[in-house]
Amino acid sequence: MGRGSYIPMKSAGEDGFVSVDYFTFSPSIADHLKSASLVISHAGSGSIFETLRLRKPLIVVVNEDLMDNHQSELAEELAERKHLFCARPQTLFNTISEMDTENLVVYEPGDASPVARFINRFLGFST
Amino acid sequence: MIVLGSGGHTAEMINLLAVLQMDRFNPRYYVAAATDNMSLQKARVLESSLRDKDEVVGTSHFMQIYRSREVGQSFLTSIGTTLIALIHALWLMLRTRPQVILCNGPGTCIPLCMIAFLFKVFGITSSSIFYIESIARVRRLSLSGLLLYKLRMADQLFVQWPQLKKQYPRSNYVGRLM
Repeated sequence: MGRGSYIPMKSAGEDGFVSVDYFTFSPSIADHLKSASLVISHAGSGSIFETLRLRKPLIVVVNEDLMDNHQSELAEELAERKHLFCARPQTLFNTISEMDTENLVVYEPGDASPVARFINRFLGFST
Repeated sequence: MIVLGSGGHTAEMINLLAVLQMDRFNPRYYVAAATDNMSLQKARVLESSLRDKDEVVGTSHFMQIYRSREVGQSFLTSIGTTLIALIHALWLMLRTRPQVILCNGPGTCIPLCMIAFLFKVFGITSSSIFYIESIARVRRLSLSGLLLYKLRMADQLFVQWPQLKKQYPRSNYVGRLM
């Protein structure tokens, strides 16, 4: 998927198997996120905050072999603050089976006003 | 002048612009990399939402700049493209003469900040440069942030995590924007 070479098999989920569907791009990903009970994502900040804003349990998978690594800092910090779970591809199964979503802490959205006030003060505007 | 990086960077910048009083920052020049298709579009959406609210908003302009370096580009060809980006930045700065420059990485903003800094040194135009490091930078500054910090080119550099403030004491910790 994406720039990778692996393409999963779609499955309708009969006989106790998990149903699998995939898409490379969806304009309505927000709807998919809203109806999800668990989200597993890469470590992009957009994906992370979009999911946290919807207060969905989130597992961020970090692949140290591939990426340039700066993305994992954010996932690790948020995991330490208990806003999401972090996993590597090898540990994903264990994370899913052992995770306790009750202990996740809701992420309160950030606020750009302190920066705006600082800028205004620096430029001599009244705040 | 608002320099837009791609993707997550633009989202953070839009969050900041939404709480700034736009009548104080006018005219507004939005600059994005030539290969970035989404950022200027998001800026246009923001500007038209301001106009819809009937606020006194002034004028906005949308421009593109050549990227100094694409992801994975070889070092040798990067020298050439960086020079082109610098010349283009000079042209944009002469045209706009901004009093305020807002940027948050990635490298798109560096040629513009360098020219702005040189303009300040030679007394051509004085711009206040504000750099907001991305929320994804928790323990280390990005290359753009590091350059602006070490060379003291930014008037104020903002970080979103306390660990960075400890490491870079001249920065300002302002909490998260997202």
